[in-house]
Amino acid sequence: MAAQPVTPQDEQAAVLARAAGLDRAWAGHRADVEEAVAVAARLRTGFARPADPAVEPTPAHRAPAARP
Amino acid sequence: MSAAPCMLPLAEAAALIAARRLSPVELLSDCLARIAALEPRLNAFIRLLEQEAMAEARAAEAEIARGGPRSALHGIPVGLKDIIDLAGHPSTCHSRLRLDHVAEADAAVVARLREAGAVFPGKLATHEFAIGGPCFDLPFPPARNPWNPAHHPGGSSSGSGAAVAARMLPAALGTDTGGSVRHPATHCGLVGLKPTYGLVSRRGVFPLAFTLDHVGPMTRTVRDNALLLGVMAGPDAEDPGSAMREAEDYTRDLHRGVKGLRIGFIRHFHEADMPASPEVAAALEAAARLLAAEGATIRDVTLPPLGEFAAVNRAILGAEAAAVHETWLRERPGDYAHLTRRRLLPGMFVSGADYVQAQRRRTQLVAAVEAAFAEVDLLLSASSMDPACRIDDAAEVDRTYSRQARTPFNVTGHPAISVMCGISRAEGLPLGLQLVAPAFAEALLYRAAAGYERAAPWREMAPAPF
Repeated sequence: MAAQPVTPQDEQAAVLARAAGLDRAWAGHRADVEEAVAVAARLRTGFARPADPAVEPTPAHRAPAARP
Repeated sequence: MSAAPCMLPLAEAAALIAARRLSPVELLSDCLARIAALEPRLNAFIRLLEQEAMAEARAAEAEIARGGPRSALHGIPVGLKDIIDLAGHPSTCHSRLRLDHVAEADAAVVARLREAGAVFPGKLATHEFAIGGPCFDLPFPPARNPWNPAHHPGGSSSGSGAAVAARMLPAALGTDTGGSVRHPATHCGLVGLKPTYGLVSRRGVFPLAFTLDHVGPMTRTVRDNALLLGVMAGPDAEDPGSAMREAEDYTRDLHRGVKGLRIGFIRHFHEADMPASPEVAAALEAAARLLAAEGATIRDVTLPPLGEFAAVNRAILGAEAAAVHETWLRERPGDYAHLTRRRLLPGMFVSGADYVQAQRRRTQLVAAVEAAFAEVDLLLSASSMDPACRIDDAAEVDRTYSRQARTPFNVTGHPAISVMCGISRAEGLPLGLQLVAPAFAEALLYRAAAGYERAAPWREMAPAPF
């Protein structure tokens, strides 16, 4: 059987999978990893980024309570 | 007492127990008989704890005979989703990755129930690690819908929904990170509450996403739900997300009805953002008319688009769940169900910046809902956009599972409840609505839900025997 052509998207997904430590998942469940890369990319544009740089994330970090 | 004990709602069983007209042993025995009859077709249980529960019921019976019940839950069987720890028993999370895990201690919420005298007959099915959907490649089969076992019961608290709807148990606990208490409540014709974030301790509950996880009660009636929450809620210094807020008597306003309440109807969620099936849309309109007829004022409310709430939820949930599952995803990816792996892997590719941006947008989404509550007392919206599809139709499960309006209130932390509001003509399956209240206004939420429940005909409907 002829080997599948390697596209830039394939190469990118392989690099991302290796960087995420998902070598085993890439070897055994490659389609799932490719789908995951695409899903995560779509999430990036799924919501508006706050324009105001001062908007804090929820929940805000808090220091531990003062000791009595 | 004319009804079989297992058919009684929690509050009615509790009243009979308090009057010494029903014993906890009698109640549990009837529930166990019902479980034996129906479980082979529903798969609601991962582990049945008959002997231990019977010992708890006998102890409750003796104690009540001596001095009366400790609480409304004394001697009442309560099921636990199998990501909630029960000391000495496995919390498998419905996964082969956790088959060997035995809980050393009760989850904080279980400890509260135990102190109140509840009985624990078993651990209930879930979607694997409370994510994904019904799967057939796991060590345990998926729970099925008692209204029609060919259909899914919703999830991820699928066994909790199936067990309570089938009258196997009067109540169960579920967890809700993207709607997982309200989803099975909607599809099984139950009452399911996601409380305000931090009101119920998450300690001893396997995490899915730390800033979105809630533990909630699932029951057949609003009163039962309020009684159960009254025992579950309360501060926990060992849960970093605890609101450190004392429980209240959440039943106190159940009699007041909806007259005078201002309810904002988020129509755009199911009309424009994610069009609901015609019969879900019609059921919501009928519910709004009924609430108005009962004296509430209904007006339209506009929030940011539903899809944006969902995207923020997915980015946060994905990244936080990936932090929990990172080692297993790297080392044992083949041990997850295929669907679970597909749901968890995207979180491994959410960047740190994307996660923080989602949390920053969350701040604005919380503010948008808070602004709505400056104008209205409660919000009304769809829960699911479609009736439950067949459990073996993977493509339809995939398509419909995300068609819902529950995630916004995991993002914002406001309390939200699902109540039955109709029945699908084609499949004869329950439909549900969602009511949402300001933070820590659970008593107000229950007041409105109880007012609707009394006025509507759905409470008396139950799955037909099969």
